Amino acid sequence: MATLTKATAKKVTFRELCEQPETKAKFNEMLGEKNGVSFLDSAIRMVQNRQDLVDCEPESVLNAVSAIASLDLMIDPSFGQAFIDTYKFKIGLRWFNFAQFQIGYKGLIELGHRTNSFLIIHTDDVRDGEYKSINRMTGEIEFEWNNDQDARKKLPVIGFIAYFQLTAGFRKSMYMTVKEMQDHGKKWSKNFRDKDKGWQKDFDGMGRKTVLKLLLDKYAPKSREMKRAIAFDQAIINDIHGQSLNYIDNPNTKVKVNLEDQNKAVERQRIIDHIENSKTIPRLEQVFEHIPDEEIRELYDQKIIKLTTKKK
Amino acid sequence: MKPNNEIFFRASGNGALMTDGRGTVLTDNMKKDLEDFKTKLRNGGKLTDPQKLKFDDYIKRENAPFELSDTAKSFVKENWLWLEKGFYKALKTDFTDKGIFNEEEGLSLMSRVHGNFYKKNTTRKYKGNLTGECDVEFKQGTTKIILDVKNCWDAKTFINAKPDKIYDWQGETYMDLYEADEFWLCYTLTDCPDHLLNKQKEKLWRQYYDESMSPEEASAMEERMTPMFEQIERNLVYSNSKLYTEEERIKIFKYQRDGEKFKLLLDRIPSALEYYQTIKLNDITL
Repeated sequence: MATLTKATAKKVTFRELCEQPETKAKFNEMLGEKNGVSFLDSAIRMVQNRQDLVDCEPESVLNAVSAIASLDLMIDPSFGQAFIDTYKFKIGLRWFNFAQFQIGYKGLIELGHRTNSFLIIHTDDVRDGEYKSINRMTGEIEFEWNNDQDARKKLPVIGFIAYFQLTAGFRKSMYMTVKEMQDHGKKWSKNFRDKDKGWQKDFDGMGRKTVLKLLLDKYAPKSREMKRAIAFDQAIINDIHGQSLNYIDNPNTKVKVNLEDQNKAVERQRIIDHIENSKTIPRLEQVFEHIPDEEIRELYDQKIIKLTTKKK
Repeated sequence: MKPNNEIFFRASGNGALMTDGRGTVLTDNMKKDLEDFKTKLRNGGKLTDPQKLKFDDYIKRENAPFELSDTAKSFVKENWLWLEKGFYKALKTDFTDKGIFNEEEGLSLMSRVHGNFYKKNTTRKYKGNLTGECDVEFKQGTTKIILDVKNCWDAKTFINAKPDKIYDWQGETYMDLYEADEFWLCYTLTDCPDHLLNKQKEKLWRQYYDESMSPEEASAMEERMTPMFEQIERNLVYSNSKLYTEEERIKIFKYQRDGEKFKLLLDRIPSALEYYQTIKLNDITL
């Protein structure tokens, strides 16, 4: 996490950041002079109305806002295209709040349509009784849709579906059950249990976004914008150009200290060092019965040949 | 209650059995005084009143039956709690944490410096009523050596590290259990693990930081504290410093096996077993 946006020593407000000439120039470059100014105004209003964003490191908010602008999405969350979430994160000895960009499913659909490659791109929930079967051979999923909209709304949601068809004809769908979605959320979102945040506040929206994002990420041809949107999603963006990202949600980025694993690694290194530094065969042989894998065995064999040749 | 053949005293603490009880032992000075008093009496001399008091006390001590010391009893009780009730309380401090965390690092440092490969032993041995699990079992020529590696917390504890009597007996026990010729008590000075290093910095930070500080004040304070944080690193991290060589970060005390000495420990085992069999969890006389 070394590249997380540096917490500002002297706090500049978000508004002050937005008013700096270089910020204005960057937004004008992305959106045109008129749109750049009005986008920043909307951003300032949005931040003023959200205390969690006021409490965030202003640079991180600006970078998230900049990501939305660079994708030319609507900053107003009511459009469902993009959102800004917040996270508490510890740097060194202190806790800081950071803003995190989140793409909405409507944002993904918007970006897809802009490419002109998609004939259909859609995501929806699946209600009780609608899922029928999946053909494991072709991946085709069969549903029997309930067309009575009012009756359907009363049925519990059992999963989420995403589907796209390209103008070239290729089509693909993906289905995830509510349980799979919950497991995904728990695994990938630190804020999963936070009642004021995405998953708990808008499970439906997060479900649709997730299944669509996974489908597109896996199977769809992606424009530069779509790639950027997927990369930015749930990232803390460290710079206004979106070049440096941190995924604090990603469990793979967390450093877990496992003593057993560490001991094995230290011992392995000790074996390698011993092989490399051994100057005589008897010294080298001390390690023979402790060789843990083929790779080290190879190293050992090479060394023994080297020492034997030297002896001759 | 377990039968005697299922009772095992740990090598790492059995030196406690060799401590002497108060009022039952004659120190070297006392022995010398007692001999002087006896000579004086044999030659028809008389003792002064204070000398008489001392003489009576020393004779009492000389004739007192052997009794386990309080320290030895406490050690037997700990073993009893473990063997009979499964109770074991590990001492947990940052110092012990470093020892546990850096066990392999210590062995790596020694391996590099000695050019030998030291493999962590994981086999516990049992013999008679003693048990132990040494760190390393190693053969140098025909000499079998047992290594016990202790990771010191910092340079100060390292420079002052020296064996006490507990280690003497631990070494003797290991040599007996593993049929070894030598015991090496090795002190190493390895880098403090990152999580403990950060903990030290955090402790320092908390001494100065309070929640009412504004972010600007906290940042300014953090900056002022930088030299203190750097000092913590200098005190606890050695591998990147030119001031410490790897050779000087190892200190070894070597012991030869001494069967006669070890017999003294074995002589105390029956008393320890006898005491063990008297222990009851709710005994008010213990």
